[in-house]
Amino acid sequence: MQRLLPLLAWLACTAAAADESRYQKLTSQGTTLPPHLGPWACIVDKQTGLVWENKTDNEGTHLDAATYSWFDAASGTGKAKSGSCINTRLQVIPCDSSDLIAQARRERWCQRSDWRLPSAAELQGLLLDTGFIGNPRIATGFFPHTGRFPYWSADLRQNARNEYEARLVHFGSGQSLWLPTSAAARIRLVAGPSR
Amino acid sequence: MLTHCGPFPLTAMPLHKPLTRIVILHWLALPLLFASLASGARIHISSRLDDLLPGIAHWLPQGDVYGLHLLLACCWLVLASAYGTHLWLNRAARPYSTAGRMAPYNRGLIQALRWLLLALLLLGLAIYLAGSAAAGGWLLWAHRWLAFTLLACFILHMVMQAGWTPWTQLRAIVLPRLTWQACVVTLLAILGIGTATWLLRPTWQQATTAVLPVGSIALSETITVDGASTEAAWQQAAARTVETLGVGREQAAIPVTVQALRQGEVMYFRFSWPDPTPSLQHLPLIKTPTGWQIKQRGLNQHDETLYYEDKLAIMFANDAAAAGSGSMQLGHQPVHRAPPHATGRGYHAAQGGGLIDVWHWKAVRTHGFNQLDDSHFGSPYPVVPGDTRYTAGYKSDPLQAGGYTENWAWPGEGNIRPKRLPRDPALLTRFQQAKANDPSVYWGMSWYESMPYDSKDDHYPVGTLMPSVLWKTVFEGDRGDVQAAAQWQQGRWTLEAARGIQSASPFDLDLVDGLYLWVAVFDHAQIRHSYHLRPLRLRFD
Amino acid sequence: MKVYRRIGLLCLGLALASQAEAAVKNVRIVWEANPSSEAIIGFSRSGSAGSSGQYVKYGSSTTESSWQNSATAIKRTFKSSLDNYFVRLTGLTANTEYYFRACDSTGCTEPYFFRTAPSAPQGLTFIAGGDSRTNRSQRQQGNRLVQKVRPHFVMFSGDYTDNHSASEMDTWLTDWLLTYTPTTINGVAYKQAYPLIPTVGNHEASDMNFMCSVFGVDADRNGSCSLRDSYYALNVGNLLRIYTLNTEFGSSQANDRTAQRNWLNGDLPANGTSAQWRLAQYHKPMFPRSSSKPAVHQIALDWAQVFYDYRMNLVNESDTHIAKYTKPVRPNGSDYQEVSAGTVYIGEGAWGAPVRTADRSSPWIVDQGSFAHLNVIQATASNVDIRTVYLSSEPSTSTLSKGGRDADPLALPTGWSLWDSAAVGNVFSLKRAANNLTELNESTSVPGQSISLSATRDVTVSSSGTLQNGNTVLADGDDAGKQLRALLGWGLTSVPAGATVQSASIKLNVVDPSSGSYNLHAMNSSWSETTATYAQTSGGTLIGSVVPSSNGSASITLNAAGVAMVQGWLNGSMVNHGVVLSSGGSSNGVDFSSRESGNAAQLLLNFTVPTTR
Repeated sequence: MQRLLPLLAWLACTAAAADESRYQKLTSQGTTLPPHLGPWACIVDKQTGLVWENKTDNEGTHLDAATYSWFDAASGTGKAKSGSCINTRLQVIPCDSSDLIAQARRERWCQRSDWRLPSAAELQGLLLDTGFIGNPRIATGFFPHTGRFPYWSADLRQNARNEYEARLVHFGSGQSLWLPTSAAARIRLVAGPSR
Repeated sequence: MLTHCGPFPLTAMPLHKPLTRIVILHWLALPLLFASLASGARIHISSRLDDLLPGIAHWLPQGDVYGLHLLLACCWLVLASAYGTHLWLNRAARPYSTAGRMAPYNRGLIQALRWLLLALLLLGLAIYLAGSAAAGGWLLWAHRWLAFTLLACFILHMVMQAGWTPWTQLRAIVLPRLTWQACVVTLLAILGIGTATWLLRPTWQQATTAVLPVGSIALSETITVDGASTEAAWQQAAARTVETLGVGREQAAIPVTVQALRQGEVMYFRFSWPDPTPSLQHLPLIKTPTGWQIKQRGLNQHDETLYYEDKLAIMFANDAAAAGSGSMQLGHQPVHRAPPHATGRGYHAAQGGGLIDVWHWKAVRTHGFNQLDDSHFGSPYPVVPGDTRYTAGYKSDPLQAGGYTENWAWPGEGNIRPKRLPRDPALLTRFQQAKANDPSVYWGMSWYESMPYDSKDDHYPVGTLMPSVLWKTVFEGDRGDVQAAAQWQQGRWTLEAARGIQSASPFDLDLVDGLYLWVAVFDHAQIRHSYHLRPLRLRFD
Repeated sequence: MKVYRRIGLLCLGLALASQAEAAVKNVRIVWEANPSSEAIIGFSRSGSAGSSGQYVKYGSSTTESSWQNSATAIKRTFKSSLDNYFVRLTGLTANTEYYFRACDSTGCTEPYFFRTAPSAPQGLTFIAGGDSRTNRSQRQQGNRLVQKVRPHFVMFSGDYTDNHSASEMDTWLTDWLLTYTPTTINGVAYKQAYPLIPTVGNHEASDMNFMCSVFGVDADRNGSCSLRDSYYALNVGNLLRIYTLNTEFGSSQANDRTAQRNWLNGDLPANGTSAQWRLAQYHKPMFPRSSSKPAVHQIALDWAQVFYDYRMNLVNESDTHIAKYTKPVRPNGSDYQEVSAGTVYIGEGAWGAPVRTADRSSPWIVDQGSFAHLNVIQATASNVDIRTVYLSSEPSTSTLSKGGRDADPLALPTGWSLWDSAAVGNVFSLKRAANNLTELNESTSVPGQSISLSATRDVTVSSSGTLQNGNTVLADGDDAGKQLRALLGWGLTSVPAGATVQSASIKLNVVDPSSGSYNLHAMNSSWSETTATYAQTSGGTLIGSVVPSSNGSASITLNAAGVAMVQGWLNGSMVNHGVVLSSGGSSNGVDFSSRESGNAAQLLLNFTVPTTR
C-alpha cells in the first residue's frame, strides 16, 4: 500500500487543486476570505451552493466536541436534550439538534438564518480521503476541528419497533449508520435549500 | 575495418590510443563533474540557506541530493581508480595535449584538475567517515572551496582547448571514433563496477557506521524518565558523541551525546547536548497599542529562528543511507506537483514506500506531558485542500485526543485575536518577570486554566506578554507512544526517552539490534536543525 | 480566684487553639487493602509551606477526648506543587464508624467520620463510575448524588481531571468534599466520608504515581511511589474481592504491563475465591462502544481469559463517556461470546465528561446510551443489582438519612431518574451462577416501564381574575401588571395498578421562551378549566423548576416531593389536583402549547411493577 502512496499523492494533488477552488471561507459576518487567511466561521461549497458551519475547539455554540440528541422541535419528533453542549454563558447543558439550529439562526451565523441539519447525501458530499489515517475524511484545511466521529443528518426513519432513528455520516470511516434519536452525536449545520 | 560507437565517423582526426583514453575519460568524467558540482551546489545552498547566484537554485537537482552526491562520489572513486591504473599501465606513453602553444599550461591545468579531484575525493571520504562537522567543519569548508576551484580550473581548461581549435576539440570529445572493443570494455567495466559497488553497499555502510552499544540492565533496576539521569545505569552505559552541524552561514557544530539501555521489553535513551541559552519561548504574544501580535520574524515562511523553543529530533531507520536514510528531499519543489517549500530548503520523506520513525521532543509544547511528539517520515502525503503548510512525508503519528494548540484564532504578522485568556490574570505575571532564556519559565498555559477570548475580559496593559502554547492534555494514541522528559542544567539539555522495543503502531519501527539512529538539534528554530550524515547503529550487547 | 480564672481561660484558649482552623484541607479516605481494619486518610496543605506536624486525631466514638493521635503523616507532593499528607490507620474494627480530624501545627479540620468495611456477611451499596474531567458542574452533581446515597464506598475508574495538573487535581479534591453527607451526631456537625478506591485513567498518564502522591496508595508497601501502586486488590468482607487495574501502561511501561498481568494471573486463582463476588475496575474498556475509540484495547483484552477462567463476575469500565450493560460473556478471540454464565461488563464512565456516540453494536450488548451517569450497585451473597442513575436527577433525589443507612445497608434514596435500559428496565439484576460466574437474574428482575401522559386539562389564570383557555398556556410574573399562572392536570388511569414511581418529569412544548426561572408547585384544591381561580394556586409544595430558555421541549424533573406526590395520586393517598407553574420572579413570560393545540404538556413516569418473567 505504501508503495502506492506516491501515485495516490499525485492523484490527490489533482483532487486537492479542485477542492482548493471548490470551497470559500466566510467570516461570521458573511464576508469572503481567501484560502490562506482566517479565521472563518463558515465554508461555502461553490459546487452545491451550500454554506457549512465551521467548528472550533473553543467553548461556545460551535464547539467541535459538543454532542446533541436528534430532535425536531416543530414536530416534537426525536429525543430532546440528551446531548451535552455549551451555551452562550459557557455552561455545559443538555441539548439537542434543534437547540443548535435555533441558536445559529438566532445569531444569524454568517448572515444566514436558514440553518438546518444536512441530509446524509449532503454530508457525504464533504467526504474526502486525505491519504492519512490520522485525519478525518474531509478537506481539513477548510473544515478544521472535524472529528473522526459520526455526525447527525436530517434523514429520519422508524425502525421495526416504530422507534425513530436518524442517519449519521462517520467522518472517520466514511460510512453511514442509523442510530436512535436519543443517541448523542456531533453536528455540522448547513444553510441553503435542500436538494 | 574501422568500427566505432560514436554517432558519426571521425575522419578528420586520427585516433590515437591516448585520445581513446581521453575520450572515454571525458565521456565518463564530464557527466560526473556536472552532476557532482550541481548536487554539491544544492547541498551547499540547502545547508547554508543562501544562493550561489540569483536563481541558480531552481536549476539544480532536487530530491535525495545527498544520496546522489554520494553515488557520484562512488563513481568518481571507481573512475579515479581505473584511470590511475590505466596511467600506471601506460606510464611509458607520452603526455597528450592538443592545446598547441598553450600545451604546457594546459597540461599543468589538467594535472591540477587531477589533484583537485583526488583531494575532493579524499576530503569527501573523510567527511563521509568522520561527519560533516569533523575538524570543526573545516573539512567541509575545504571540500566546498576545492569544488569551486575545480570548477574554475575546468572552465579555464575548456577555454584553452576551445581557444586552439574550437570545433575540432569539441567534436573529438563529443563525436569520437572509438573501436567497438573500447566501447564494450568501457560499458562492461562500468556495469561490473557499478554492480559490485551496489552489492557491497550494505557491507560498506555497516562496516563504516559508528556503533552505539546498548547494554542490558536488570528488571529490578529503576530508571525514571525525568532528564536527571541520576541512575547508576546511565553512569555506566556506553556513550557515543555525534558531531552535528548547524545550518546557515554560521554552521555551528553541536555535539550530541547518545546513550541507550534496554531493560526487558523497554529501551531507554539519553541524549545530551550543549546549549548555553535554553529557549522556552514559543512565538509569544504581545499586547501592542493596536492589539495582540505574535513575536516572530519568520513564522509566515514557517521558518521562525528567534522566538521559538528548543527541540531535538531523533530518527530511526532500517537503512543506513546517508542523510537520514535518504529522507532529506532537498530543493524548492522536490515532490512532484506538491507546493514549493517556503524556504526552498526542501522536505522530508522516506523513499521506496519505507517508513522512518521520528521522535520530536519540543521543550515547551510537550512540556508536562511526559511524552515527546512521536512522528514519522513516510512517502510524501497528498496535499490537503486549504492546508497552509505542506510537509511531504513528515507527519505526527495519529492522535486520538489531547496535545497542544496555539493561542490564536489565525496567525499573521499584524494584529491577531488570541484564542484564549487566562482565567486568572495573575497567571501571566511570571511571563512578565521572566528573564531572557529563563530556564524555569515554560511559555505555555493550561487550556483548563484559560477561557475563550472575550474583548470584555481583555484589560491587559500594552506590553503584556502572553504564551501562545495551550496545553490540553497528554497525547492519546500513536502520537504518545514515547515517554520523555528533559532538564536543562549548567549549559546542557539532557533528554531521556523510553519506548517498548516492539512497536505498538504501524507508524513506528521496532527498536532492534542493527537499527540506525540520527539526531538533529533545533536551537530555538522552527525548521532549521543541525544534522549529521552517517547514523549510529544500535548494537545489543 | 483570679489565678484560677486565668488558668481556666488559658485552658479554654488552648482547647480552642486545638480546634483552630488548620492549614490542611480536602480530606479523603482511600481503601487500598484490608478495609475492615485499615484506611488511608489523606489531606492536602492549604496554607503556607511552613506548616508542619501533620497528623490525624481519631477514635471510634464521638467523644473527642478519647481520640488518639496518629503518627506524623507522610508527605507526598504531586507535580511539584500540591503537597499531600497521608496517615494509614491500621488495627481498626470492622464495620465501625471512626471519627476524625486532620490536623497540623496550626489546628484541625472540621470533624468527619467513615465506616470500616464489614467482615461479616452483609449487603453492600456502593457506587462505580469515572470520567469527571471537564464538566465540573456535572461532576459536582454526581458528587452530591454520592452524598445522598450514603454508599459504603466508591469505585472511581479514572480520568479525574483533564490535564492532570496540580491545580486541576486540587479542584477535584475540593469537589470530592461534596460527596460527604453533613450529619449531626449528638449535636455536633460531622460529615460522613466514603472510602474511595481510585484507578488510573488515560488523562493521568503524565504522572501515574498520583495514585500514591494524591491518594496515598502504596500497594507494595515499600514506602515510596511507583507504578506498582497503580494496581491492587482488596476484599470487602468475604462478599467482594475488588481488583483495580491499570490500562494506561504505554509502550514505555511494557515491563510494568507484563508485571501487572503476571500479578493478576497469580492473584485471581490464589485469592479470587476468598470472596463470593469478584469485581474489577479499570479505565479503558476491552471493546469500547464508541467508534471514536479504537475497537479493542489489547491491554485490557489480555485479562479477558483469566477473568473468565477465575470467575470474574462484574467489571466496571470507563473512558468512552457512555452507558452500557453487557450480557454475561466469555472471550472469543478478539470478541466476546454471550454465555448463560460469564462476566458482565458495565460502564463506560460519564461523571462529568462530554458524552460520546454509542455507535458500536454487538450481539452481547444489553443496551447502551449516551448520558451522564453513575452506577449504584447493591451486592448480597446471591445477587448484584445495578442502577444507572442520571446525574441530572440529582436535585430531585432525596438524601438517605444515617439512620436509614445504618438500619438497612441496601436502602436507597428516592426521586432519582434511572436508566430504563432495553429489556432490563431500571434495575440490571444479576445473580451468581452455580459455577460462581454471573448470570442474568431474570426470575426476579423488576422490569422498568415508562408512560407518557398528555394533560387532560390546562388553563391560564390571571391575578386580574380572568381565565384563558386557548391554544397556549401562559405563566408570567408581570404581564402588564398582572400575574399569570398555568394549571395542568393529568388522568392516571392508564398507569398499571401497584406501580412504584421511580421518577417523574413534565415536558412542555415552549412556543415563547423566557430567560426567567419558573417553579412548579402541587395544586392543593380542585379546579376545572372554567372554574379555576388565581387565589387557589398559592401554597402548594415546590416540586420542580425550569428555565424555559428556548422554543421546543422543556423538561421539568420532579423532585422527591413531586415523585411522592404522583405516587400518592396513584395510591389514592393524595387527591390528584394537578400542578401549577408560576414565575420565580421573572417578568419575562413563557408560553407553551395547550391540549387544545394538540400538543399538550406531558407527564412522563418511570415506574416498576413487580412481576415474574
